[in-house]
Amino acid sequence: MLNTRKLIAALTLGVVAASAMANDDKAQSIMKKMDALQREIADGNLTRSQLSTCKFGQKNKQITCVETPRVKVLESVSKQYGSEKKDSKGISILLEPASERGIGMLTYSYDDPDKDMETWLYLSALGKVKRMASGTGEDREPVSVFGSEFTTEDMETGTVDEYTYKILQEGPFGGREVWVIEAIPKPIRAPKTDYSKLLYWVDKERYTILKAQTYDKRGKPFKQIAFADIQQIEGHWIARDITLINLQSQRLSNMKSEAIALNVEVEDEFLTQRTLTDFAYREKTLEALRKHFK
Amino acid sequence: MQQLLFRLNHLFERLPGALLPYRWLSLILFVAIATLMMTGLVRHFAVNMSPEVWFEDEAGPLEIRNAFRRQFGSDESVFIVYRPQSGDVFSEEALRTLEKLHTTLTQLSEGADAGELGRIVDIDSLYNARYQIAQGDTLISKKLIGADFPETESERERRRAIAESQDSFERMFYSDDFQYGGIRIKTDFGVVPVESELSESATQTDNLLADDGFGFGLETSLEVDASAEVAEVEFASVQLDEYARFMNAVREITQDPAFSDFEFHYVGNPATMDFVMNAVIEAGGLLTAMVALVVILLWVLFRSLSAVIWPLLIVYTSAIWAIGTGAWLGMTYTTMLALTFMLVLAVGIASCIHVLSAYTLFTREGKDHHRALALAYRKTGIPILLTSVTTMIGMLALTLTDMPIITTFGITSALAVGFSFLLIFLFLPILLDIWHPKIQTEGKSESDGKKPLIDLQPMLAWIADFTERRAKAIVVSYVAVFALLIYGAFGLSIDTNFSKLAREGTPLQSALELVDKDMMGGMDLEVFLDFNQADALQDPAVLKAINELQNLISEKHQGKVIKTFSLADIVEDTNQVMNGDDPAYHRLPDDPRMTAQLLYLFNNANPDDRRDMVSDDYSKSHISFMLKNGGTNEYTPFFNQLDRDIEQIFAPLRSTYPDMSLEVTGTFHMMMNLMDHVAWTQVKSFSFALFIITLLMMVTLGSYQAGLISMIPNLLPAVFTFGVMGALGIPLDTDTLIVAPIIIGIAVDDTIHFLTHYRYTWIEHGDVGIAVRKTLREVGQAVAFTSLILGLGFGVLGFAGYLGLAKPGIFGGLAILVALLSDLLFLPALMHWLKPDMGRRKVLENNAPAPSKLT
Repeated sequence: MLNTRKLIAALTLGVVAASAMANDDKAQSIMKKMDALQREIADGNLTRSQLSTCKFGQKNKQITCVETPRVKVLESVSKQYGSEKKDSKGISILLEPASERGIGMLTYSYDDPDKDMETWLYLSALGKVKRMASGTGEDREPVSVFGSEFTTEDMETGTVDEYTYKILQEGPFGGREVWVIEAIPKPIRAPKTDYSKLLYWVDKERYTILKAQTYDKRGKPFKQIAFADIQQIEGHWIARDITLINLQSQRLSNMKSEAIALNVEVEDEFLTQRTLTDFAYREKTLEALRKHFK
Repeated sequence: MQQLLFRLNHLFERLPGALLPYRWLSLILFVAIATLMMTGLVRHFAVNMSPEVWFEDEAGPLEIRNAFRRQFGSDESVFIVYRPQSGDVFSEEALRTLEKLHTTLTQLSEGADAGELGRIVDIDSLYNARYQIAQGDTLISKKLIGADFPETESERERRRAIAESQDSFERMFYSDDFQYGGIRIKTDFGVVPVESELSESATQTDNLLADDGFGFGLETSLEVDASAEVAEVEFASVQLDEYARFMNAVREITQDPAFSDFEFHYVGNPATMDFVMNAVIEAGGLLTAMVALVVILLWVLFRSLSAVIWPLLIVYTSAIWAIGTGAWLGMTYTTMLALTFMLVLAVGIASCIHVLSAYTLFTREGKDHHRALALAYRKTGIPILLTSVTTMIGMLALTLTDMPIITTFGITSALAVGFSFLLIFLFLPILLDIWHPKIQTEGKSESDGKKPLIDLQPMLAWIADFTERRAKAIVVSYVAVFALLIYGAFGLSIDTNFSKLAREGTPLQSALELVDKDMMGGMDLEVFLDFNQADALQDPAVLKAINELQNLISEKHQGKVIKTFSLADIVEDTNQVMNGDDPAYHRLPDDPRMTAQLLYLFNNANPDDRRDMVSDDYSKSHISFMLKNGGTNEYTPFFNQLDRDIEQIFAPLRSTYPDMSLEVTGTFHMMMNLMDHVAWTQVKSFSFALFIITLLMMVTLGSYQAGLISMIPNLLPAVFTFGVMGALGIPLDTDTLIVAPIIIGIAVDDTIHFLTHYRYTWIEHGDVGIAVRKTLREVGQAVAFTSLILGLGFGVLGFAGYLGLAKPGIFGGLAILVALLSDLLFLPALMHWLKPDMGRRKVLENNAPAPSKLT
């Protein structure tokens, strides 16, 4: 008499395991879909953003700056390349503050993990372009984005495979139906991340993130990112006001997309070193692109 | 006064008999008070072993250091120096082992279950040191090893060359001869928040759909509201044992066979504090050994368990009462409690020995128990009162300091001595009535009691003759020796040096020596710059002032300063790198836009290092000075000069930055200043106590002459100790200065006993020979016993590995023996030669009732 009980137990376990797998798969596919959407947005994109950073304090549970925020204004252009449009090229030029005006950064990043990211930096005071080589793979630690609390890690796309995902909860959040998805970095990701865990509140309908929370390597609350002013532009849902609160440094950064142009035609020549140094060319091209601002 | 003393003598004589009828009441009272105090101990006793308790609350230096730490994190790093077997830190094996060690430490320090290693904030070594070099139009900013291990010999040599090109790597990560490597472990010591509201409320709620996961709403405002509550982090103070636990965890890793290729040395404040913690544990053990020795000697000398148990009961009870009172009063104790115990042990035991010795002397002479007890108290009452009062004055003089810890120590110690006095007079007679040593009466058979194991009387009689015969010779040779020692004492310096707290050849000592010679030096100092204005640190004028200060200090103090670091260095380095590595560009640009952009570049390449160097808004920064280890004697003037130099160099900037504040800080600076302050405070309290005690002796001995004479033997132990230390070039450090007065105070107690007794006998008989003989006979034994017990007891401390304890132990033991020799030889000889009147004439003139016969 084969142990029917055991058999049933085994089957039950199998079902449970299968449903857990299904949950993980679903979470993974949600994140993949969002990642793809992000890449679509980045393809032929011009954004003028204002990046404000300040030390914050609390009043009646509301977070507010306690000092005059340091403001940087920049214009960025990006475009996707490659057969699956998974490689990207982007350029950012600082407009403010005056002392940093004209500093530019050109970045090429590739989906192929063996191919190094390429960066060129232009310092306007020096009038020179330098290629930046800062190591690869494991040695590439997240760095601050223009001196703000945002790091390159917070902006990165194309790393979905480096995490395991799980849907923790579903339901209404801030008037929208969401999945709460937990992301745990896989060992391959570990040296390149500041986080041990991330949580995303993903809008089920629009596939946009409404909120994210990250935990440091010791599992302590680290950053909270809130996505606000979500608008539909050219068919894409975009958060135009993103605030990152860093609980450990007690500083926050806010990124406002003052103007966005999507699906614009960016000539390949623009995403080269010429744009960094050739002010006239840059202004002429940007002027044309700015007409599409929304 | 003399009348009063006379009455006191009577009182002391009658006390034992008067107390006996109330013995049960006394016992009940004793138990009641003990219970009350024990309750205080259980409920309110608190020990704080943090080095920070030495500073007054809200004290300036702590505040400055905390402001520094809030901005730049803890300044308490462990610096591990390693020496690979190959003798070359760039050999393949050495780099492999380093890679393994670095990654192991990193992995173990991460994760929620990191335990002690979770205190590691950052690890820097050759493995992950980021360099910045220019190669044509490419700016390379990479980790020296990282994921890209140099597999070939030529690649390793290339990395070596890169390391050599980076100013900041030398001595930090490798020694000039590449024999030693360095790993800096940044810790969170001193920057762990007490309890932050934000972090507390930031625990994730179960319902992730609630709107405030981290404890606050999603709404944020960029409007500036200065009234919003900033979670200003208060840091919890670090206890000594935390350092010890951390260092043990680190050593557990480095001792793994996987790293046997490396020989390790540890420096940095956590390593020093670990050593201090071990010293505290060791001191506990030595104190126990001291008590054991006292027990053995007491038994040997009196051959009765009652002579062991009663004195110890008195000592422990006084300690508990005193600490219990303190606990009820809400005092917080430190490791100085061990000193209080040492003091009350010494004073209490000495007083008990005097009573017991007198008691046994009289019973040997055939007096019955009650008479012997009455006479013993009569004879020893005044001297014990005097020694207790003088010791209490010495301890209370410490309350004049501005340091709460020393005040607490002074009050508690004075209380303990006071309680031991009360217990000896009100409680010991009752205890002795219950159980007392039975000593054989002279000339009687053994059945009546035990014979003393050591009979000093024949020797004391011989001394009496000898001092009479050779009075002048003894005095002259004493004076000669002490004149020499006074000369030696001029060479004495007051200096506290961390490396000299450990014995030659101990790990800490050799590590400190090594880092001074080959690496970054054992100490670091920070100048905290706060300009209170955003972007100030991008101003070329500010950077130039910083640079000037660094150059000036490095030049002026070449022997001390190993290296300096600042934001100005970074700007210079980046400027050079951006200009094709041309050394001509290793300078600060004049254009503020240029400095801003060079710093922008640095921030972009290395934001963590940037944040370690300057605040996000470029209003605050710091200059680090890496210094060789040294003592307070060297560094106090250095600090003073540094303050003046800072003021002078930065003065022109004050018109642009009126709110700037420039403060020297860092644990090293704070501790050095503290040590120096404590040392001089001790010197002052000690001198003050000496003055008051001299006055007191003049009053009680009834004449200026007697008072002044008493100060000669009182000063001898001190002169001897300081003279020998001065001649041997051993400086007086803070620890010695805290312990020394206690021991010297104990040493002089015997002199008080001797002189008080001598004076009464002299007044009574008017004959120096009789007075000396009687005094030697009646107090000589007790003086010898106490000196033997306490001298050997303190000598035990000489075995301490911590020189802060060993030095006072050895010199204290010697001082006590010197005091004994003075009491037995010098004082009798001096009396024979000078025949001082000591107020006898006055007593006789006043026709005061002369103290009656003592026996």
